[in-house]
This record gives sequence, structure tokens and C-alpha cells, in this order.
Amino acid sequence: MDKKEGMVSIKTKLLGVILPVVILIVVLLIGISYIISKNLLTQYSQNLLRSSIESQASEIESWLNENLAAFQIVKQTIEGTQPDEEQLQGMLDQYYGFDDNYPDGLYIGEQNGRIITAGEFEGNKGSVTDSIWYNEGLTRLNMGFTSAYTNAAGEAVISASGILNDKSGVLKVLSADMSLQRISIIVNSFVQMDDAQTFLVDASNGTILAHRDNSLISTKISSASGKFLQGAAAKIADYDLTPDEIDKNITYFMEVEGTNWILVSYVPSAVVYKDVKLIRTAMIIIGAISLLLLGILIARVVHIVISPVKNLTEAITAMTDGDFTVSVDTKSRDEIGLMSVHVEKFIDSMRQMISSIHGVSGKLHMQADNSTTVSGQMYDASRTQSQSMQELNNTVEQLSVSVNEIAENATTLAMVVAETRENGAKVDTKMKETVEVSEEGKTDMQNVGDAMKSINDSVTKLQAAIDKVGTASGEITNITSVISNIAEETNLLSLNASIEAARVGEAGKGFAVVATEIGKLAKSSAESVSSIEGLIYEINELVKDAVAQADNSVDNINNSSELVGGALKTFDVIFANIDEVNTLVQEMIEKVEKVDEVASSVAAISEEQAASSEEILATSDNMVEQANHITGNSETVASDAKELTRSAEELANQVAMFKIEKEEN
Amino acid sequence: MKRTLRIVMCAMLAGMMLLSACGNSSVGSSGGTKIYLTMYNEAKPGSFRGTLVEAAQAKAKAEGASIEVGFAEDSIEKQVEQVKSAVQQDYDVIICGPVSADTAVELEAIAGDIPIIFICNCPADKRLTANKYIYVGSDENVAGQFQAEYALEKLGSKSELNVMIIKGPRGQSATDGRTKGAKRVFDKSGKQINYVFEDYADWDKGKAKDMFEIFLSTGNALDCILCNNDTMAMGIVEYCKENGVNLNNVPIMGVNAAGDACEAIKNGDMALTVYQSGVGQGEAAVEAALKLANGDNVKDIEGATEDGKYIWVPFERVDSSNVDQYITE
Repeated sequence: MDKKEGMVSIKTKLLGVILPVVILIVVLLIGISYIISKNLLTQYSQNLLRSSIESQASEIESWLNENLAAFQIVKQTIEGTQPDEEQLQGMLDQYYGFDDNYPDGLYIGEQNGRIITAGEFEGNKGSVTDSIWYNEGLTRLNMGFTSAYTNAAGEAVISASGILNDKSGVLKVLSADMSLQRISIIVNSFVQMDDAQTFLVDASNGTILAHRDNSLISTKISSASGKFLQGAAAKIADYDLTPDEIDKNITYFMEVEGTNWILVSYVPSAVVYKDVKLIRTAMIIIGAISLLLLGILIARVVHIVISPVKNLTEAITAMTDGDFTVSVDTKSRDEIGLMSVHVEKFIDSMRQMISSIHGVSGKLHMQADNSTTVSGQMYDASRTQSQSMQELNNTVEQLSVSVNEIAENATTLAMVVAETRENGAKVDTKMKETVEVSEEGKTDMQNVGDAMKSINDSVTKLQAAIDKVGTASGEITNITSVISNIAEETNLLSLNASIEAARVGEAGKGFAVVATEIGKLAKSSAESVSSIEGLIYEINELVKDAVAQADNSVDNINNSSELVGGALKTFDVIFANIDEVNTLVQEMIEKVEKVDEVASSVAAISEEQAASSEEILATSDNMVEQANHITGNSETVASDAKELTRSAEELANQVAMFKIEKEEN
Repeated sequence: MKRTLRIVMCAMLAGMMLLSACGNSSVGSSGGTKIYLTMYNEAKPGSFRGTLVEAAQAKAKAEGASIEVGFAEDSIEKQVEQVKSAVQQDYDVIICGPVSADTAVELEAIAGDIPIIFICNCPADKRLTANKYIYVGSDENVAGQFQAEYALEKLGSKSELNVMIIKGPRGQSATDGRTKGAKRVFDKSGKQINYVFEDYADWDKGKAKDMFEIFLSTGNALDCILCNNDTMAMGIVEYCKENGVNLNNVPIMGVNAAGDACEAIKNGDMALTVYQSGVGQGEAAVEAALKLANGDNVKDIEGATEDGKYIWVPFERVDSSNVDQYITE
């Protein structure tokens, strides 16, 4: 076990998880608080600047108004009282040095160029009608401020002036001068925010009325140098009085009511953001320190918590190397302590276990050896068995083939026998038919015999009849000869009659005719008698033939009768023979039926046998396979046994690696 | 971490729900809205304020809202009392023509949750809050612009203009706005502008007359007269008539399109006035009041500015070409 390779310690892991989270939280906290405080501070600063400029503007306003009001009172007093020259001079005198804002007091310029000042005033107000204070004063009845100008004494001033309407008929302007420098000081004195600055611009002509930098007073802002003033000038020219950041100055503009003046207040952005920066710096430092402290703290805590684990790890590493001689110190009472206690117990039980394994492995080794031998033998035996089984199998296969053949033959035989039986039955039928026919033949033959006898009788009777015919014909011949004699005598009578008739002459003519006719009849009778004689001759001849033939027939019939008698005898013999054959056939059929039964059962049995032999074959195949398996298994067993032996040896070696007793040194 | 996040989320959600609940609470009934209108001074029929108040009453009636009108007789104390009693009587919204625009802070504080629509006198911008404390009126600068533009049109041939400005009371938004509006146009014209007379006549005819008389005594040249309202312009017209002064067509300009001013324009005594729509302002004020009473936004109302603080009812330029439209019998 290589401790370094790919291993990340718990400490690293813990720190790897906790530290980024802590850093993230701290950074987030600081970031959020920074953003919040930045916004708050910025807003605060801007509000401060705004309220500063607002109050500044209103203070300037009230300062201006205060002065204007004062002048207005003087003006109204003069207008109301309409004093004479002396009284007027007195009033003006009173105001000389009365107020620091207008130390010269009030003075009056007249249309005609005359000027009335306080008696103590020794300066010069310049030409009345050419002066700004007079001309601008002429544009209003209420006192108001003029634009800035430089007076005869070279001072930048503005005047508060207005028409003095004393109804004297002379156009008069009451005026009082205020130094712009003073206004500048006052304006800037009203600044309420540290580092903020203010200047006052007359928007109607862009003149700077008040500025901390005196050199700028009474100059045009548009001609001033510097980005900031230019920027402010541009905004004023555009009447854009919204707050803005000009040249890194947050700038506010405020109109001074009742005048064309614009108060411009500004503070460097850096000032506004100074606190923000301070806070940022402080927060970064605090963050860094707290991160550092937290880091160290976490690292220490983790280290302290983890160190028993380290001891444990060492012990476990030693155990991994097989060294069970180590021991674990248990100090802490936390989960890790509990773990140590259990590891200690584990080591103890391992020690015991390993020593018992030692013993067991020895025994095991022996047993393994034994089993190797046994398995070798078993292997041989099973191989032999396998071979035998193979042979057996072959035999059974052949047997199966033969049985199959037998079965087939038996089936064929059964079929043949069945056919034979059917044929036998047919033969039997035919035989019976033959017997019947031959019986009929015999009867017929007897009938023939009988007929033959009756024929013989008839023929004999015929012979007799024929004989009688012969006799009759002789008699007939005798009769005919009589007739013939009669005919010849007649004929001779007719001739005599005719000779006699011929002598009688004519009276004898009719007799002559009958005599000729009788002669003719006598002649035809003679002729018929001669043909009858011929016929009788013929008949005699025929009778003679018939007699001869009848004799012949009788002979023949007699012969036939003899033959028929012989045939009858033969029929009887045949009949007997057929009977015998029939009996034989019957017997044969019976036997064939028996054969059929036997053949059928033989076929069935042989089929069963064939099936059985196939089963036997399958079984024996199985057995061969099993035997082969057994061989394979016994081979495996043998190799396993060898393996086991090796394992036992290895185990012994392994177990030997565990150290459970402290070495002597 | 996750848990912390969940807690933070829950807190934010709860906060949002609370806020939205608060927002809803200001929603009042839509119909029967009770409006209180306080005007800094009496509103004579036919005058600008009279027209405004009448229009507001008519509009409220048309919308089914009730409106109560009070006049403060130019007393800030009286006006504050009126607002206090309006709060006690549970009015839904207040329309206020303040005696002094500077009292806006106090009025808002007294009104508490009740929205205020300022009219006639515009408080400082920072005193206005979008959809809560708003101003309904006309952009005063535009009235001044119309006057200056007219002067430049009529007197365009001159390279130098002698301008007289008769202003309203010092510090009033109408005075400042109208004057500045005119001056800015003049400033940009590129001409030499001499303000030969510029003073506060406080909307007063007599003061205007006096000032004009004094101005005449200076003998300064004069090209045009810009008055912040018609009353003062009419003062000058009257002075000229009474004293037989011939101004040789020097245009006299006013603001408000008051009846006599319109007649004067028709007669050629005055050149220009600017009609400030009392009706338009009265109606717009009530329209805005109803929206605010229901917690709605005024954005949809015509003339509302993007910041939701102002509703500008436009001015109309009235000269001889269109004066007849503005003369009421």
C-alpha cells in the first residue's frame, strides 16, 4: 500500500471543503456589507451635499433678501416721508458703515448726473448715467441686484438698486454696493459639507459672482479654464441643473430665488468615496485577518481532531502489512477514541484468529495432499468407466437398430398375415360358392341323365312310329296302285265313250266333251298317283334314314347316358374333394388368424421394444455424457485438489507473514 | 449554506408579502370616492380658478365621486385646518391649490396616507412623490415661451430688443416659470436683448400701472411688454387709454386668456395671451385624484410625465387669429 499515491488526507479534504466555504462566506459578507455601505455612504454624501447646497442657497437667499429688505425699508421710508435734501442726507449718513455688507451705505443717483452719498464716503461712484447700478436700477421699482461690475475703486461689486419713486419728478435710483469678495467669503462660509466648495454664477451673462479663487470673480465662467468649470458652464448654458459628476466632482446646481443666480456646489468624488474606500480597505483587512485566523483555527482543530486518526491509520497500515504486533493508545473519549478501542480489540481477535488459522492451514495442507491423490485415482476410474460406458452405448445402439428392424419385420409380417387372413376368408367364400355350384352341377347332371332316359324312350317310341309310317306307306302304295288301275280303266272308258260320242255325231258332241274331261281327270289322277308313289318312295327312304338315325341316336344316347353316369360319379368325387379342401381352408384360416394375432402382438411388442431400446440408448448416451462429465469433473477435482494443495501452501505462507508474537529482538 | 440561503429567501419572501399587503391597503372603493378640494383663494365664476373648480365639480359628478370645495382665503393656517379636517372626515384624496408652495411638506405630513394633487401653485420638485403627491397644471415655462416667440416673430427684423417684463409675486412658481421660459427663448434668439424694465407687480393691475408710468419716465426705448398675467397686461392697456399714451404697436402680452384680455386682443389693444385651461386642469386633477384614491398609476392620463410627478395640461396660444374661440358670452 503506497500511502502517497492518489491519497488525499482527511485534513486536506476537510480544509478543502471548509476553507473555500468560509472564504466564500467571508467574501460574500464583506462584499455585501461593502456594497450596502458604499450605497448608503454615497447616498448619504449626496444627500448631505444636496441639503448642504439647499441650505446654502436658502441662506444666501435670506442673506440677500435681508439686505434687499433693509434697502427696501430705506427706499420705502424715503418714498413715504419724501424728505428734503437735508433729511435725506441725514438718512444716508446713518447707513454709512452701518452694515459690513455695504460699508459705503446707500447712495442716490439722479437723472441729471448728480449723486448723493453719505457724508463720510470719500470714494467715487463714477458717472451716474453711465453706471451699471444706475441703468439697471432704472429697470425696476423694487430693489434688486445688478450684474457684477468693477467700480471706480477697482473693486468687483454688485449693487442693489431700484428706482426711488419719491414723486419729485426727478428720476432717482437708490443703490448700495456689495463687494463680490465679501459675497464669496459669505457664500463659501455657508458651505456645510467638509471639502465642498461653492461658487455663484449669474446665469443671465455667465459671470462668476463668488468664488473662493478671487481671480475668477467677475470673470465669465465660459472663458474660465479647467475641465470642471467648462463642464459646469456648459450645463448652466443648457439650463440643465440636474446633479452631475463633472471632472471627478459631484456637482449640484441650485437657483437662488429672486435672482438669475445659480449656486454651484461641488465636492470631489474622492471625498465622497473616501469613507467608502476606507470602509473597503478596512473590510478587506478585516476579511483577510479573519480568514487567516479562521484558517489557522480550522487547521489546528482539524489537526487535533485528526491526530488520533493518524495513530490509528499507522496501526491499520501496519496491520495491512501483516504486523499485528502493534497496539493503539486510547486517550480521547470521542468517536475516534471508541474507534481506537475497537481497533485494539480487533487486533487482539485477529491475533488469535491468525494463530488458529496457522493450525488449520497445516491440516488443510495435508488434507489437500490426500485429496489430490484420491482425485487422481478417481480420475482414472472415471475414465475407465467412461470408456466402458461408451462401449456399452455402442452395443445398445446396435441392439436398438436390430430391435427396430425386428419391429419393422414384425409389422410387415402382421400386415401380410392380415392380408392372408383376408384372402383365406375370400377363398373360403369362393369354396363355398364352388361347392354350391358343383352341387348344382350334380343336380343338373342327374337331370341330364333323366332327360337322356326320356329321350331314349322317345327315340324308341319314334322308331316304332316310324315303323308304323313304313307300314302305312306300303298300304298307301297299294291304294295308289288301285287308284292307278281305276284311272287307266277310266281313261280307257273315256276313249271308248269319245269314240262312241264321235259316232253319235253332233248329239254325242257334249258327251264327247265330258268324255275328254273325264279322260283328262283320269290322266291327272294317274299323274298324282304317280307323284304319290314318288313321295311315298321318298318317305320310305326317309323313314329308313330316320330309323337308321334313330338307331344311331339310341346308340348315342346310350353312350351319353353312360357318359353322364360317369360325370355324375366324377361330380361326386369333385364334391368330396371340394369338401375336403374347404375343411382344409377353414383350418388354414383358423391357423392364419392365430398367426395374425401372434404377429400383431409381436409387432406391438417389438415396437415397444424399439422404443425401450431407444430410451435405453438415450439413457446410455446420458450415461456416457455423465461418465465423460465425471471424467471432466474428476479432472477438475484433480486440478482443484492440486490448486487446493497450492492454496494450502500459500495460506500457510501467508499466515506465516502475520506477526503475532513480538520478535525477541 | 443551503439552510442559510433558505432562511434568507424566506425572510425576503415574507418581506415582499408584507410590502404588497401594505400596498393593497391603500386601495379604496372605486365608486363614491370622496374628494376634498382646497383652493388658496375664492374662485369667482368665470375666473381661471372659478372655471377650474367648476370643471372639477362637474367631472367628479360625472365620475360618481363626491367633491367638497373649501377656500383658504390666502391663509396657510386656514388651509392647514381644512386639510386636517379632511383627514378626520376620511376623505380619500385631496386636491390642493396651496396658498404657498412651500407649505407642501406640512400639508403632505398632515394628509398622511391620503394622496394630494397640487394645483395652481407648484411645490418644489423634491416635495413631489410619484403617484402620491403630484402636480396638475400647465408648464409655466411654455406660457413664457409663447410670449417670447410671439415677440421674436413680430420684431424679427430688429437686432436689438428692448423688453419689459411685468412679473407676478416674487417666489411663485408661475412667476419664475413664465419669466424664465420667456428669457430662455430670448437668450437663444441671438439678438441683443435689453430688459429695460423687470419687476414684480404681484398680479396687481394698479402696481402694473404704476410701474409702467415710472418706466415711461425713464424714457427708455421699448419694443414689447411681457406680463406674467392678463390683469397686469390690462393695467398697462388701461394706463395707456387713460393717459392717451400711444405705444405704436408695442405688443402687450399676458397669460390666462381672461375675458377682458381676449376683448383687448380683439380690439388690438393687446397682442397675445396664453390660455391656461381651467377646465382641462380641473378635469385632469379629478381624473388623477380618482386614480390615486384607488391606488392606481397616473401614467395613462394624458400629459403625465414619465416620473409620475406631473400632469401637464397644455397651454394654448391666443392671438387675434384665434381669439374668438376664447371669448365667452
